[in-house]
Amino acid sequence: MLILIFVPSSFAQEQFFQIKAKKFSYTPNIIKVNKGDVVRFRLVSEDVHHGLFLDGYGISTSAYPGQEGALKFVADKTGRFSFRCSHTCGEFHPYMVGYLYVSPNYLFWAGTFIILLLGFGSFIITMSKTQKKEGLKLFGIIPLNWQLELTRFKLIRNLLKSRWFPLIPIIINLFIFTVILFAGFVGGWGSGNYNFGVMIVWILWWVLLMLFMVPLIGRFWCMICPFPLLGEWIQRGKLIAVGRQKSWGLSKKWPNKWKNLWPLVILFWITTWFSGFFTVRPFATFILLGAIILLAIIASIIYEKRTFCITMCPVSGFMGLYSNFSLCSVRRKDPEICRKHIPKTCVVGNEKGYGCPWMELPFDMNRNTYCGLCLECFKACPYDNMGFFVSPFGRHLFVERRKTDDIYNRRSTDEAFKGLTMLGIFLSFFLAFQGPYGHLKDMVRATSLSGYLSYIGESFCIDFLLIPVVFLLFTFLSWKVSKNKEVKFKEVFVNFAYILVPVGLAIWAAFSIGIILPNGSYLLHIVSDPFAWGWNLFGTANFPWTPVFTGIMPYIQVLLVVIGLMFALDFGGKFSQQTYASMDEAKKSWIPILIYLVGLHIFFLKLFTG
Amino acid sequence: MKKNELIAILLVILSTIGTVLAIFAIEKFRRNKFYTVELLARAPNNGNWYPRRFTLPYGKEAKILIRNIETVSHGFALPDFNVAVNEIKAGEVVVVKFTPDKRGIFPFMCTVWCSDEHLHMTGEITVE
Amino acid sequence: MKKIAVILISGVLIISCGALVYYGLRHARGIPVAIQKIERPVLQVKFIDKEIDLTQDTGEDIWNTISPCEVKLTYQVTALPWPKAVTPKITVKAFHNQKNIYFYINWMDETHDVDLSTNKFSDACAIMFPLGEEIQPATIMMGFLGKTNIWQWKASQDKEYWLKESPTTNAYADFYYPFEEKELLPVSMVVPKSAVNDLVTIRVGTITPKQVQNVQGRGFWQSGDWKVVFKRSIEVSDPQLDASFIPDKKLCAFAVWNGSRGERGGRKSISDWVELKFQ
Repeated sequence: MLILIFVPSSFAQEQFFQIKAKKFSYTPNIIKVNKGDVVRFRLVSEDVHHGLFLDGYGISTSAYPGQEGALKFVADKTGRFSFRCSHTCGEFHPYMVGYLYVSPNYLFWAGTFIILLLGFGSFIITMSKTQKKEGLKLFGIIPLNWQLELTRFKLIRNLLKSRWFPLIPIIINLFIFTVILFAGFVGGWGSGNYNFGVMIVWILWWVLLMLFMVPLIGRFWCMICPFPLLGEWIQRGKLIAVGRQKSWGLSKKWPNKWKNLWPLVILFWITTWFSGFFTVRPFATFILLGAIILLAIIASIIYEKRTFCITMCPVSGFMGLYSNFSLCSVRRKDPEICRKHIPKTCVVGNEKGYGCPWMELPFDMNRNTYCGLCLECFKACPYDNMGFFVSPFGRHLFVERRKTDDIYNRRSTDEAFKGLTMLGIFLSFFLAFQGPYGHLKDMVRATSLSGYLSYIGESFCIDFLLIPVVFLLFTFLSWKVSKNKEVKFKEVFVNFAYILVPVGLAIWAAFSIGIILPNGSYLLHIVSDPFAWGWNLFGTANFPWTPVFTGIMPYIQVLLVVIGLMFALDFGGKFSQQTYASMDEAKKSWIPILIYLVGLHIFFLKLFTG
Repeated sequence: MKKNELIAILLVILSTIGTVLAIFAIEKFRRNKFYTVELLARAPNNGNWYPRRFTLPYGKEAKILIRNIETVSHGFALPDFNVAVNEIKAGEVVVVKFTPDKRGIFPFMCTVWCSDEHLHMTGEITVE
Repeated sequence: MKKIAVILISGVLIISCGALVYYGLRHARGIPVAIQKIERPVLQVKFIDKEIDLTQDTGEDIWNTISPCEVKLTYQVTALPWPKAVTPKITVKAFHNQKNIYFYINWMDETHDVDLSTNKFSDACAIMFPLGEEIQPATIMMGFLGKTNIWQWKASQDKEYWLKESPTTNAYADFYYPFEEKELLPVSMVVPKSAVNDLVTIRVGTITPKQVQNVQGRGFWQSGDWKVVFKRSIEVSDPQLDASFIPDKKLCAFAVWNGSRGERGGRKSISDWVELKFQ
């Protein structure tokens, strides 16, 4: 492979391509040239006005039907560059993309090299270990049980204990969502990229979620989410003061059998069936959000407390799982105080705060999955014993099952499957929305019923069959290699599935980069003219579509993929030690998983830039 | 604390119903003050222009707000008054200003290929 | 008691949301109006076993037996420059005698413009036929996404060809030039092989006269009324370039120029597709 890097580039040629543009793809959709070639494009439109903007080179042209556009450039930058449509041509316009490969693809080869190097390094480090260590360290540097407790700062403590927090941020969000719903309603079947509702939710909120909110603060969105507010108001009878502890309404308990992530695994997957509609049509976004809000309110009067948030909110599943990777968590400070405290007001509530609406046990909580950061326990604890902790990434992924654990506090198959299906959903989304395949886009937006059903079928196969089965094979191999008769295969499968949490976060973050950099400029437009009525609140209504940093975009994505791999390798080696009794077994059984991770990340690299 | 509860309820109502009312109020004010007519551009199979026929007063400067509520580009041309907009992209809003100095019925039409029935995307302005 | 309250509240919420969604869907494309069905004019091409000899006349007696088809025209606005005014409608008729096909166009024009010079423009009319099988049903604009065959009759050419009158100047400005009449590009004239130019185009700005001119035509103007007849054999000499009339479901479109309004090139009044129905 080293030799490949030093092969001199072949003689530069003149290459000409006639690119036909039709809603919503290009033909040819994949073009390959060599570095140094003088490339000419002729853009021909087959139906309406289309454009072509070349990422990385920043040049563009456009073609009306009957009039062609032309581009001429020297392919001096190597790698894979997307070319995308630069004139709104229909509802799927933001997804109209083709790929240009300028070989040699140094970024891909360098990335592959780094991945292999990391895998090799992990192999060496693993093999060199002789005994299990206590006091695990992230990357061998940061002790995993390091933590900083934030309520030691008076300002933060007062904020967290005030009944106005997080109510004020929630009300601000309520305002924003009112505008979003209104925009979705009046937007009709118009163009999503000029609609406040579609842009704020699918470009801004989703990207912020995956890039910052979840990796850094876990369930931060749940803290400030406005959806359950009205339902909770009805349940409690009061908005800010502390009223009835038991929810008004039927206050039913959610059946124990379903107190896990399985309903959400299915529900989130079902929600993704409609992503071809609600990400592009304002009214479809209105219907989706309206349906979720309606469900939230009705669920609040039938079930107790935040049952909706735990069991029926589509995003709650991955947020809960991924929040175990985040820096922040809510835990009790001094276990002795809790041991002597009866009754536990963090669970039953008092006049200062409600009992935990998420039905957790704050005094005993050791994972983040079902804690919605609502901060009621801070207000209800008379000893000020709840703390907001900052700790290294991924610490809570290491929490093993305890004998005293209730159904929440454990590693489980439902969480494993959530991690696996998130990979699959990423894959089908990436291929359909950021890939150049026109027929996939047609399937996703249901141009024909059979195409749409095939998309759902294909999505099912990837999410529930392909990705889990491949993972199953490697974990099976790992189990077999260990020759350990006492460890159950299910435990191996579930434990190793948690390495997919940093992996999932990394690839979703990279996916979000691919959304925000090309299309972020629409946000300036919709902030001034939210409903496409001709407003100009901040003077930016005529801001043109401007992709930014598209040249370094693949580098950022590769970096994120590599970071995800680093975490996965580090955690996975440690999970192996947690799973297997002896160091020897742990070392041997890590190898198949290592190979799986390296292969998986080379595959991701190929998706993003190869 | 009754006071806190009232403030919280007020804030919630303001941020929801208040926002919606404020949006309607702003838009009504804007329409009345700044524009004479609002024209919706849609392809003929989605309803064509709306309103398809309208009247303008003779001699008074007319400001027409054209909103493209579709996902394809449209155009606007009023040849009798030499007024046109090259391309109104999807979601775009443009304002066309002119002073009608002739009386009669004048056609306006779309100038950008938008659909199979593009040539039928026409309307009439009556000036009196 | 509580159960009833819960069911009531849920019911009210669901119904009001449903109503909201229904209202929103109805107005998703703006205020709903009844969609007008677009009727395309149909031009019957009857079989009449008669010939018209254009050197003699334009066969008025035959044309009087055929009922007219009215075709509305509009401004050409897709490409600059635009015409200053519009000829609102024309009347068309057609017949064939299995050997030749004849078209008849009649429109009102107060001025008789037959001279071409650098500042004067001729009246003209044209019929456009799409070539090839895969044409989009409403394309117009000279080919657009496929080829078309255009028969353009010009009054000045008619005068030169039939009346053998030599033109007043040797140059004319019948050129598509996007600026005002002040900027004219004089072009020298060719000797016409017919009163009708047989042209092929694939989109705006690609008008090309054919090597072999197949179409004949003649027009007469009388008290504000032009009557023009086109004649061509039904057989095609070059299927790539000639409009064919077999099979029998065909489309055509019309255009008219008024010379006194400075109309030439893109400054014209055009029609939508007209269906040709053969008998």
